Amino acid sequence: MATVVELCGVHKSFRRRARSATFAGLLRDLARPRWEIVTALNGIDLAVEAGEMVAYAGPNGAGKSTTIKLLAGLLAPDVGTVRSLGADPVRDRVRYVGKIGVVFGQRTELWWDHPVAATFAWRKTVWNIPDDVYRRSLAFARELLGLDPFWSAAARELSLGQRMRADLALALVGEPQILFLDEPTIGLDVLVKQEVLEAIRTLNRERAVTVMITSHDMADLEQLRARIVLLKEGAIAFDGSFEDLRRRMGDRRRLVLETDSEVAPALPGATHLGSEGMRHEYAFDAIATPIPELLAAAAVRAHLVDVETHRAPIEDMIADLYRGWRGASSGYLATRQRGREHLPSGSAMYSRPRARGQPP
Amino acid sequence: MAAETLRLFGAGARLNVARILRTREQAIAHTLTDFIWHSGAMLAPILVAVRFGHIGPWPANAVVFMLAYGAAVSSVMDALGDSPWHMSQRVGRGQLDHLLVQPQPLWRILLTEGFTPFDFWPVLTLGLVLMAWSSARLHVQVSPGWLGLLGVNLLASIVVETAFLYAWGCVAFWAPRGAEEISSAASGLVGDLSFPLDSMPRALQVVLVSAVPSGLLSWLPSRALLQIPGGCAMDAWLTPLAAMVLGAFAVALFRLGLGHYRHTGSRRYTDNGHRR
Repeated sequence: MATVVELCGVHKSFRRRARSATFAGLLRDLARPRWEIVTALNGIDLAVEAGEMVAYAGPNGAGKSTTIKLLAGLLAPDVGTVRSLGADPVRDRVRYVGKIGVVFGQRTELWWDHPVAATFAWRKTVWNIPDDVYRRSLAFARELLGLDPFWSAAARELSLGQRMRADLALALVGEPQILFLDEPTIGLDVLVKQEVLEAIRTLNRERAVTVMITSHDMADLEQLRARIVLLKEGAIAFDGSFEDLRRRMGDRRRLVLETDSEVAPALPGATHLGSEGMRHEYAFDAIATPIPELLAAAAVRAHLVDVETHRAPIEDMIADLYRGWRGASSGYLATRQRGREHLPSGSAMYSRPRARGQPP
Repeated sequence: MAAETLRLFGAGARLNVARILRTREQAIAHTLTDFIWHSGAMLAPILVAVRFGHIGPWPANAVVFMLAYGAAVSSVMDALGDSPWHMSQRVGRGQLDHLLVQPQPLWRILLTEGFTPFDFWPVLTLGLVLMAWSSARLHVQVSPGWLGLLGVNLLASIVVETAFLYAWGCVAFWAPRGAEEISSAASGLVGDLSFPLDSMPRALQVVLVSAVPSGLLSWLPSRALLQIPGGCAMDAWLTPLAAMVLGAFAVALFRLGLGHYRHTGSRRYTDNGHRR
């Protein structure tokens, strides 16, 4: 498959004015401003192939939106090269942006006082979309995202969910080759979120549209079955499938024991998370502590009424990961991740066995 | 290139007419409000001129011509939509990103997005009718040359005002929050001074046709076109000359600011006023 997006050694930093809280400090800053350098991206090497779905994740300030802005032609890198669809997004902006779709979750492209339909007609003109392509892509987008019930409503009258569906559909008109979605599910209720995610999956699966999506919601991203790229302080800390991520981070599980006592038994290799009456919840790594071993230990220490095990939510795992990054670079997860960190630019782009295309 | 620009003007015009014609009441109220608003703004100097027969060397009909000229400039500016008035808002609020994701040259988007020709046709009509009426009363020799000069000056006045607002709006590239409203403030500075400036001190006149070019939006071109005493024949070319200089300055400044924006991006975003 062809590489459609390529970032090589991309650095991007911003200057931020340091401000004092005291009057004297304010006067001093006025005379001699102080600046802090915030590194948003620190040597990103990334390649995305045609038809891939890439989930781009990381804690706040990790550089997710900066990457999307670089790829949308809104920002230029300080160092390194950004190529997408064979073009430089900034230099070839006019030609390039006609081939991509961009959705920023917290912004709308809809004309506020006009019916949804009017914005689509406006886009056809501005994007210079041929009639047949417009008809075809519009029909597909309207059906996929269920726009008919509010097609004639003014954008200002739409709910957030309807607005996001319309924005996503708008980005699909003209059949873009790549879709960049920055936090498209932010603020949406569960049902609408499911619909939007399903639409994105359908789009990727059936139309082979390359999708690059950022989100804070890891469960959403896992549901997309995307290749996940995790950013840490502007650098790629992990690049692979969710399955791979879970494996790398250990087979994190939850164990819920129902016993005849309100006192939670202490289990070696498991951490007690909390109890509700006689139900006690534990976290454990099923690789380090196999389930039969743990259950045997539990049976010895308590009278078991009921037992449940399930996988730890991806959100919890990622939260641990972020905590590990924030706490110490030598933390548990950071250490486990080390083997999957990127090589410096100039060497082979990835050190990992990549899960290209659709993950299992 | 021209066809593409016209196509985008057409898209703006369609949105404009759709907004005005949402309801019958809306259409009537919208048109009347604009008409009354602009007529009201012209009324005071006209009444003064009529009461005293003149303002300085300007006969009452010349004052009418000057105000009508200003109304025509203002109506075209308004029809150009959001760009000149709200340039600093677009930059300061991070809304420039919406324009940069459109597959069109930025100049074309800025020129055509938000084009509202149907909002201001009553004022433009009023301006043109009053110019024709007053020039007839003043016995102006209306020749093709004079009409050409009028057209060039009208266009130049529009360019001067647009360039002035853009130049100030560019400050928002470097001070997005502090300069967010600077374009609309600058428009108040140049747009609200529709009075013959002949009685002003010479130094102030120079300022008002250069640093704060409100005198170029109606007074100086009208004085030249009507050959009011105090000016010279070359005055008719001062506004076009200023338009070229100020236009080039604004373009250079905008390019500089855009280069800065490409590297810093927008650190803030607010949709307030975006495409409303």
